[in-house]
Amino acid sequence: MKQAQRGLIAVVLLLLLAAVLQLPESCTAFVVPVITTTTTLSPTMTSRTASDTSSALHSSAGSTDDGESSNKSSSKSSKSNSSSNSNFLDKLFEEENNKLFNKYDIDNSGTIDKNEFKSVVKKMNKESRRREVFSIVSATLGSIFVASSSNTFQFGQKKFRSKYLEPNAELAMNENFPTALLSSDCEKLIFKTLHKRGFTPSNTLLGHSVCSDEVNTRGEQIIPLMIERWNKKGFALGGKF
Amino acid sequence: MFELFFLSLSLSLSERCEEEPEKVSGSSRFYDVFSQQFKSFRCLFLLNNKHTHAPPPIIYFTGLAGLPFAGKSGFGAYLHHVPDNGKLLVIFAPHVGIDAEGQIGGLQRDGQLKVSNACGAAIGAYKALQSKNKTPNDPLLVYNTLQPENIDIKFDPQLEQIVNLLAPRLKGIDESQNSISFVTYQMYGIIRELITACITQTDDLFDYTTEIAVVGGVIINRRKGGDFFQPLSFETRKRCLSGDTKKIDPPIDLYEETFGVHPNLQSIMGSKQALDRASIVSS
Repeated sequence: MKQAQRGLIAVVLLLLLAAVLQLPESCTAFVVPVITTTTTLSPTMTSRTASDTSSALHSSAGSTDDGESSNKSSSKSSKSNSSSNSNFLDKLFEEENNKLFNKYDIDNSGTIDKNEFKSVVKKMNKESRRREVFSIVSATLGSIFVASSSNTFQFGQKKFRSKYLEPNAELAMNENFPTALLSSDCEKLIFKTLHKRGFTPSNTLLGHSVCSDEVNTRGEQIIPLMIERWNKKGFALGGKF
Repeated sequence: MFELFFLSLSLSLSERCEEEPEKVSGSSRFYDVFSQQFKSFRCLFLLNNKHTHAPPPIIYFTGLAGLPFAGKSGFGAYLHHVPDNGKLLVIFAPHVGIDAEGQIGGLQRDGQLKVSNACGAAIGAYKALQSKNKTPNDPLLVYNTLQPENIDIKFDPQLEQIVNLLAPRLKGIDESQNSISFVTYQMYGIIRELITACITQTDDLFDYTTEIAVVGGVIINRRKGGDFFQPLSFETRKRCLSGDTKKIDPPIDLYEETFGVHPNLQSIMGSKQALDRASIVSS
């Protein structure tokens, strides 16, 4: 049960991470326009730094190593922006652009100088580190989830089986086999009793005598569950040929 | 959202990753569609434990109907493989399918649209006995899938054994609640007797092991909703305290300690005699 809960927590965290990981993309989308604006407006910033940062941020930002060509392309870009001002999306973009620019233009000089640019770079680095941490954490949690999948499944099956079972089959089972238990529950009860009596996977050899039908070898069946529990071994008393 | 996620997760494990036969049952339609949305996800993330932790469903050519056809020799080999001063744990069970309509003995298998018999061997033996007019006619539709050649026991030694062992146990089947349930419980009785015989007739049992626990019951196969196990017996035998390894004491019953009170199956079986014949302890 503890493992099942761990699996459940892992799933929750994965879902949250998936949601959170969307944020850096949007941040990047807003940071790129800031840099573009910077290259247009800031004579104090060296063109070399601007182009490096821009390409590090977004390869498709259109920046080059040449400062002049960068300025030219930026001018073209501002011309095209002004011509499509009627477009709502462009308007929105401009607003966001200005908002972000004002945020980083701390002294309200209308340009982003070297010190202000530092804060942009800091923000970028922070985002980059955050992504790395998220990648590692999600990989770790993913592997925990994978490791405890069987338990997660058993927990999910027990909790939500009433939503998808076949009512006639359930009724027939209750009428004809009234004390039937989910295989996973039954397996745990057997283990609990035997463990108290000193049965452990290392000192016990499992033997099973069930029909050769493939339905009895499905992962959630009692025999595969017991084989998994009891040292991954089992002697087939039904014989094998 | 969470509930739906787990619902899909549960569904995914009860079905295969490959395309399934089209299912059109109304209420489950939504869940089937929903489950499809997670198909690639579950394949990637092992939601289907058949592809990861547990072996995929395969047929082992072992005994039919769960009978211990390895016999005393097989049991001896099993005994000799136990770790030093170790313990044995035996689980035995006949199995029975229940289809979506609640028909006992039917099961829709993965990749198939039609319903087939489960356990095919037990039902085949019952059908063979019916053809010899040893049992009353049973109109259950599920039998119709058995062709006469499938119940010909000439070249089928295991089925022949099953037929011979089942024949004297069918008395009172017409008083039972369901004939296939009755046959399944009788199959349980047959296997239990054979396993017990293997244990009690093995003289050097406690030379190799200190304890042997035996769990018996019925495996219930379902298309949806998970597979079940109905425990019917759980007992253990220990090496005699006096140290006499040749002496086998009566078993210690662990059933009530583990599962609670024994079920009352008399109304299902029809009579006390039928229950006794199946070696079932009833409350």
